[in-house]
Amino acid sequence: MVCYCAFSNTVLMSEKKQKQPAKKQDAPKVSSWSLRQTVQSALKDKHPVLKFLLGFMGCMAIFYLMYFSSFYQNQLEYPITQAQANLGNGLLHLMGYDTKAVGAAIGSNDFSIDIKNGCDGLEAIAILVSGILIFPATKRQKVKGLLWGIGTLLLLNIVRIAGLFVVGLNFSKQVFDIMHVQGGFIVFTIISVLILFTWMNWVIQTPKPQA
Amino acid sequence: MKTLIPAALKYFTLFILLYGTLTAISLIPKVGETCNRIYRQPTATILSKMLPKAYIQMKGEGDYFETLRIEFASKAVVKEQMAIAKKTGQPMANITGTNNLVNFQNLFLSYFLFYVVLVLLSPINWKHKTVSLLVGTALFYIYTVFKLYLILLIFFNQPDIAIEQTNATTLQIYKNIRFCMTMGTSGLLVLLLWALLVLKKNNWMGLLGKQGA
Repeated sequence: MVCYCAFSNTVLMSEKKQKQPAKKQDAPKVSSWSLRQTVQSALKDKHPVLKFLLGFMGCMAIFYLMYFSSFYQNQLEYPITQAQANLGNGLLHLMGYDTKAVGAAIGSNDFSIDIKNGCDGLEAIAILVSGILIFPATKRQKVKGLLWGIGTLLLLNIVRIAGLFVVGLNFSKQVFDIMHVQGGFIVFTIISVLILFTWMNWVIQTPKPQA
Repeated sequence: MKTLIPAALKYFTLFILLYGTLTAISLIPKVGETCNRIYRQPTATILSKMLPKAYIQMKGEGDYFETLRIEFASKAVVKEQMAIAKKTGQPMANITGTNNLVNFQNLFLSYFLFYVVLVLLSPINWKHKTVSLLVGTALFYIYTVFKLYLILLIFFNQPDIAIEQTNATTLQIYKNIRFCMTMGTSGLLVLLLWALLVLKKNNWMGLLGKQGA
């Protein structure tokens, strides 16, 4: 679409040029003008998207600075994954499995999984949090979105961990690997995006309080 | 929030169906082999040009060709061994190569399918979908080739391999970049590519359910 605009701009300007031969020296300006126009029109077309994405990327960059820091990896990673292992183990007990949580691992006599950095669901949660923080909404709407969204994703991640254990226990390593990346990571990410869009839609549909 | 929940659930169901189907198709050995071959042939050429001190070749492995075996040998060592073989009158030189295994699904295929499904389910016309698929795939491919380049460069700098001798500071920067190129950042990159290439002012507003979009 953008290329089409650029092309039609150039054609229009060339036609004008033919009708007014005296302005031939303006030819280089025409192409730069059309390029600038194209860029401007593309930016205008994507303006709210770009604005949102820049803020979103900034928030994600801050998250990754923290997530990849030695402070997080030495001080926070283990307690978080350990808590998730305990909760996953609790869920598996409810489902009738005789499992044990040891550190960040869940094990039984036949199979065990170790929750590591990347399996903690924090990246998907960061996507949701960044989107909510950047999107123009009231504090109350943001808090509501954060509480519901983070709560849902944390809960789903426990279900995902327990589900992966069940898959690993009952199916081959290949099936486990597929479910780990495809079934787990990517599906979990899309759930986070869908929660974000649902929240954004709710914010837009909610009438703004009159000042 | 009620307005978008049914639409989000419908989208999620479609996403799971389409993504599941494409993943299942990609697990058919013939399809997996083809995907692996299409990916590894240009990649081996590009990596050989980016890392000229080594002979690099890539092979597909695994039940559904989910693994890339990257074999390499130092050009200097090969030359040296050839010279020794020539001197001693041996018909062939004995050269020991090294290899590195990379999970092709985790590197490229899963995320490529993720991107394909995101684009296919987007409310845009087919021309826009085709352009977004081509441009997004090309950009993500470049990202994965760069990731492989870093993996190999770091590997080549190991004392026991010693094909490359990169400056310590530069190598540390490369190691840090590689450390950040996780599965999470790959997924995030796919989302960003999709948003940049697919979302526009009008469909962004439409996606959020704004009236008059």
